[in-house]
Amino acid sequence: MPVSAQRCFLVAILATLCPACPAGVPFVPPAPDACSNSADGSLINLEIGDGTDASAPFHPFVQGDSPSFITGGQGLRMFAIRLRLQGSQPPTCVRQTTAIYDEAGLNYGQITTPLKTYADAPGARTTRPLWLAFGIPDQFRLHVQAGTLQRDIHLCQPCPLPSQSTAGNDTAP
Amino acid sequence: MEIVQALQARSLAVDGQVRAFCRRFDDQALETARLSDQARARGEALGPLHGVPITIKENVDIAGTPSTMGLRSRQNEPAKSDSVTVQAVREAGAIILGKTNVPQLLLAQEAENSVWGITHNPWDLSRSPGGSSGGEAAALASGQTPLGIGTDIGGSIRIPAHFCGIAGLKPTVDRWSNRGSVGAIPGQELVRAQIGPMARTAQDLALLATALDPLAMSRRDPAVPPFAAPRPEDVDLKGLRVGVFTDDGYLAPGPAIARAVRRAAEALADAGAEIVDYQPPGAQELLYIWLAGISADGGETMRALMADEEVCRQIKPSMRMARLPSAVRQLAAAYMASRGQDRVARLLRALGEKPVQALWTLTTERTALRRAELDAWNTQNLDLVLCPPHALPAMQLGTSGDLSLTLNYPFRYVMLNFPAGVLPITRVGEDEQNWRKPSDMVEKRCAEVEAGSAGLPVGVQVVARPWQEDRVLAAMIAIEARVIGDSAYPRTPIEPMGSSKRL
Repeated sequence: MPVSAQRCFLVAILATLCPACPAGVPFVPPAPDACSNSADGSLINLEIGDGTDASAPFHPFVQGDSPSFITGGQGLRMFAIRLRLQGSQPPTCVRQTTAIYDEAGLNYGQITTPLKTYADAPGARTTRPLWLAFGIPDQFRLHVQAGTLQRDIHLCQPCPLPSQSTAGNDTAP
Repeated sequence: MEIVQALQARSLAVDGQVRAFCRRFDDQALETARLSDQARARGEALGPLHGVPITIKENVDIAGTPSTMGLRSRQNEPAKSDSVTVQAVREAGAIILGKTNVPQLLLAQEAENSVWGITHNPWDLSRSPGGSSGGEAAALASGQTPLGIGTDIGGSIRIPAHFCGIAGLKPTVDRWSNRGSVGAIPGQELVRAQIGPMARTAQDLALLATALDPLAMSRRDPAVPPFAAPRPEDVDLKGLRVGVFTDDGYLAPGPAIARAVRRAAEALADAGAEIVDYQPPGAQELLYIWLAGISADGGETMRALMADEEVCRQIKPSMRMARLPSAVRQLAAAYMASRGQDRVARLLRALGEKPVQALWTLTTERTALRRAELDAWNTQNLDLVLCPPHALPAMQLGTSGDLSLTLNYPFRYVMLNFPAGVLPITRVGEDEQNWRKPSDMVEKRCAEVEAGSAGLPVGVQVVARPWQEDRVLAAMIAIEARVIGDSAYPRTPIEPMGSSKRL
């Protein structure tokens, strides 16, 4: 196929793969809900949840979950996460780094931005959605470091096998 | 827009180690991407690179930013306008992410300077990404950009491509406009620099090489001939005659590099080309004419550019030699020759200030060698040549100052002004690192580079007759299609790593 035809084909495919483009307007992920004066606070647990629907209650991912992807105007997949912090003093502004790795260990990208947190249940605070537009592979490891805690969770879309685990990942200090 | 965001996130993850970027346009890139997405949503096409991110080598002018060549004296001299090639990049719809690092004065096989720091090779952070387009190659190999623009005056696109396992093309001089590409020795035209495309794969390279409009460049730069863009898809490789050499007789490449050349020849044979042996004329002469020509002013132009800045370690040895009084250099050359150091002796004789008549003689010799090369191609009815891109894999950081005589393979085709591309083929094997039996100090340095090089990428150089970039690209695509599945193919992007993790 000639290069020019390949380009047209690519553009056409990208256009049809754009379910988040109502009336042709591509979805643009909002900027992180950032803050300054971050603190670690006193944390005992960190959970990572799906953030694509910002109005939904916090729903933690489990190993092997499939996040809700949105395809942008250029055909790249993205999704959002929310973090829930639990402890005696969860901070109102938490320093965090979120990164995505494929199975071979290739880091697809990371975001290091302090995020505001909002009161959830007693002793728990939750962030607003943090959009990850990293060119996400089908199977990947999501790594989050928030305050003094870090967590890894394996997600996939599509997944090779049905989800085997129903428990959340361990939180490591 | 999300692709720009993804690449920015990737840079945040890796560029702290690689340090490929010297200037980022994060906000402008996001804004351009937003406008690009809106245009696409309206059904408007901005060009063949609509929305595709790209990076630009530091010495290529972008309005409002300085092209320093790694010199502090140029930090406060922002370019007044975009270079012609950058204009073409924007008109094709691409989004410029930033500028990438270079060596001081663009004259080293590394990317280190006192303005922007040191760029590291993502395959081994203790090694050089090559130079002078080293920042571009490192950014491509580490997945921070899909396309790049480099410049090449002695291998500056092709050496980084070879060292980092990516693809690059040095076109025939003036195939793309060089207006707005800053060089270390303006007015020196014995050997000229040429802007060219870089990418992770030959397929991507062809996309960029065919996307920029040469006719638009021709309207802005009288040096650019009004040719249409190359069309590699129209080239039929069946029946083309391909000359192959693995050793030019001056400095032998490592066994992995010779193996890469042979593998590429197999691939082209599989594509229907006819493979024949080729022995290139004038290997030594070309190397020393290049070095003699570029030092003909005794280094005075470069010293004036540098003002009071210290010469970096990569070019200090050559600058010192060039500044020696002629009689001292001749004595030193005689001494080195008596010690069996013939390569260095000839270098000492070649470097240094020359009268105009000597420069004209060098120019005449260069032209004669260009004609001799073309005659040799005609005698054998060659359409393409495959050869090593370099004698070595990526060298340790800070060592390239003693390795200027390893440039015989990349120098050759800039001196001859034939278009030449480099693409990755394989990686150095464990049993291919310690083979050289040094006969002089150049080979001793080569052996030091090769020690510990297992796992590093190596490539092949693909050369065509002047103005036949379409054939170079077609051959590169055909080779890539056949080697990309090889177990040792150096696939990128990679995670930056130390030598211990490479295998």
